[in-house]
Amino acid sequence: MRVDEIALREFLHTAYPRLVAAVALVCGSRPAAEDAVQEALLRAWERSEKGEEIESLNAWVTTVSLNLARSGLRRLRTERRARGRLQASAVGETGGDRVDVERALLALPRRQREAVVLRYYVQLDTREVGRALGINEGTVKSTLSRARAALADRLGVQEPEEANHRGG
Amino acid sequence: MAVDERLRRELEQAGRPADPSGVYEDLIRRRERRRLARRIKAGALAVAVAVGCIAGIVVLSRVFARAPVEPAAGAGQGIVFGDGTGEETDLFVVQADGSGLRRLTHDGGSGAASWSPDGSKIVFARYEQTQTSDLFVMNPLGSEVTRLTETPGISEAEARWSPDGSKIAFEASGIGQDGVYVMDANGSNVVRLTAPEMDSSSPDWSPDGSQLVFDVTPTPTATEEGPGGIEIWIMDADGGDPHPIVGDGASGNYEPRWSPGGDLIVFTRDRDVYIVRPDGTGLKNLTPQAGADVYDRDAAWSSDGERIVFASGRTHDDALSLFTMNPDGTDVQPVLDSAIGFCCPRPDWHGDAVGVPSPEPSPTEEPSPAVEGEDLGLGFPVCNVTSIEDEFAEPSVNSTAFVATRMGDTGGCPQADDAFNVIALDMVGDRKAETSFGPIECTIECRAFSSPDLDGDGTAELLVVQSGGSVLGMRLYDFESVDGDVAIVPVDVAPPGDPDALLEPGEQASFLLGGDAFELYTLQCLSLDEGVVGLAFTLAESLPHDAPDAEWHAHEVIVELKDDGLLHVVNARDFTEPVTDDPGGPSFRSDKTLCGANLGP
Repeated sequence: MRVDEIALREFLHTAYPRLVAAVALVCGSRPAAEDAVQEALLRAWERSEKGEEIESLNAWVTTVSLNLARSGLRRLRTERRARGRLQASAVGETGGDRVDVERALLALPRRQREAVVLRYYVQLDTREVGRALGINEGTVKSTLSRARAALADRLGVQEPEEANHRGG
Repeated sequence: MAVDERLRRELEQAGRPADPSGVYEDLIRRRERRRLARRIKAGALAVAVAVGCIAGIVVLSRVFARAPVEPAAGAGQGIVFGDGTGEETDLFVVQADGSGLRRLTHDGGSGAASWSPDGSKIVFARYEQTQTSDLFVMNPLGSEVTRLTETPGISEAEARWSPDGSKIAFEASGIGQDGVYVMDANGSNVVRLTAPEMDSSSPDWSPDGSQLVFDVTPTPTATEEGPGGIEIWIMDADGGDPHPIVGDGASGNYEPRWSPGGDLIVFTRDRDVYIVRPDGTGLKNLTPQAGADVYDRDAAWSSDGERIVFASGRTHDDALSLFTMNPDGTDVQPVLDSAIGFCCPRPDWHGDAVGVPSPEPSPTEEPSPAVEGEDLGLGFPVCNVTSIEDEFAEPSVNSTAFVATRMGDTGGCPQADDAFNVIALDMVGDRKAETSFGPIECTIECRAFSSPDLDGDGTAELLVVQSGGSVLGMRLYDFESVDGDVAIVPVDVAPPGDPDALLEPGEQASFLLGGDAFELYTLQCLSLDEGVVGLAFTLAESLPHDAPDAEWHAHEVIVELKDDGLLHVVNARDFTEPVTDDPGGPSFRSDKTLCGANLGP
């Protein structure tokens, strides 16, 4: 598809609000999430202007914005500061659902966080999650399985037993 | 499922959708800022070139991240040039027909190289932690590096051997030290040739060794487009009779190189390559055809004077590549089919212009043959394939792990830096992957490195080099069986990790390996209690640098891959030990293998 003003405006009004929210859940920082999604959009736009074909703007921007939020020392520092703020502010709060789940998410390994947010917030199926994260469906399942177990423990929810064998 | 439902509900509440108002306008502004920044970078580059400095180098494109080429053929001749990644530059050598490309340095701070007259050595500038450069000599394979200068606070660069090989002329920059100097080829007897008030750089010898040509910036504020310009001057080899031959008070003229025949000098004027006779007559633009907006610069002669190599931006956006042409500007031929960084190609050619395509190539001739990719069963061809065979998925059953780069859409093997790099596993021995993982990000290098069995269960894990240079950056992957399928899984660090050892909790486990006399990163395999395997990762710095009483100040972590699939830090400590002359290295030196696994390929 061609990424032009019409496509960008449509993306901004349909996919952008929830994608920023999803990336913010993953990286713990709203400004970093907005920065990552906007940078990904800009790259899609520039690539399209150079003649590169972008099959699905939603899928491309989701993958690239997660990669951008993941990479770089600057974002790591942003994230660390955000975690510090989050933990500090949580002390004075009543422990509502929002803080509980955000804190539980941020305690997960990065890839588990990404998989959980894409599966349960963006509501992609496991195949689509795999495509967005560049991993195969089997890896998505095992990642989600671990994440669910950890989250169930932190949120105090019963998690059914699942067979899961490690090798290698 | 209780967890699924609660996650959906709570994430819905926690996720705060963003307001898209004004974002499109922000994108427009962001794009314009970026375009402006690119233009500013291009301008800044010209200034950096004008003052002959490789410190303020701006690199606008990624370079070669190719697999090393066998060094035997062509050693001692070819075109040596600098190429940058990020804000770093390393030296490469290539033959004029594009063959035999190989990398000479891996420190990220080397450039401005030139050949000795007999082709047995290369002199070059290397930036070190002090942010100033010194001169070094190496052989044409990039080894046997010897220091020539050591001057804190002063940078030496742009060194050129005299035709008889006995002396080296170079430029220096530093407060009150700017100018052209000469020294014996072993680094002794340094003599300043230009007056202190003369801001001069980029010397080159006349073929009989009696004179030097160099560039002069008459006023401190001059830039390539500013008042004063930059001029080409000639002086005697002892510094006598300095006089200008090119300069109009406005244009920037720099990087002069004397022809082997002695009758011409080629140099860069603004964004074109010019030629002039030593008496200042016969000024001619050799590269008007590329247009005024395209950079053509950094010209140098073949040893027989039959061709000129130069860098040009005519074929790549925001990047340069190398080309050759006749001394009259005709028959421009590409040397490389890849882009190189803006700073600082500075090619230097040792060898005659043999192997360069004929003067009248067919217009339909492809500038470079397409690289043929390999089919690993991934649905797309790959290149830059490296592999390791080991028992990855099941004990006693060998499988092969590949690391490769997806081929470009129009053929050719892309640089790993911006490419789709992938890990693949062949479990049945048909060189076709049953499972894969990607894309993975790589810088400079992307290759399979080692297959240690870190959890001691009889199957191997995989270490992949994802950043190159003098210190390798490696990431750890595991192979996991789920419902009969094998998945390649990045191994993350368990909380709390150890940020001092760069092991961030929740991030993929990564290690560094390599270093130099001052900083060292090592890996050792250990047997922990009850037969458990551990890995010791040590980061050390010798302080004070280069002092007889220096000590290694080291931080060591012991990590263990546990059944939860995470890498746990089980111990961390700081220690010191004396730096000794022991050729084996310090006590924490890396093992020759890693938990029994070979290092490589």
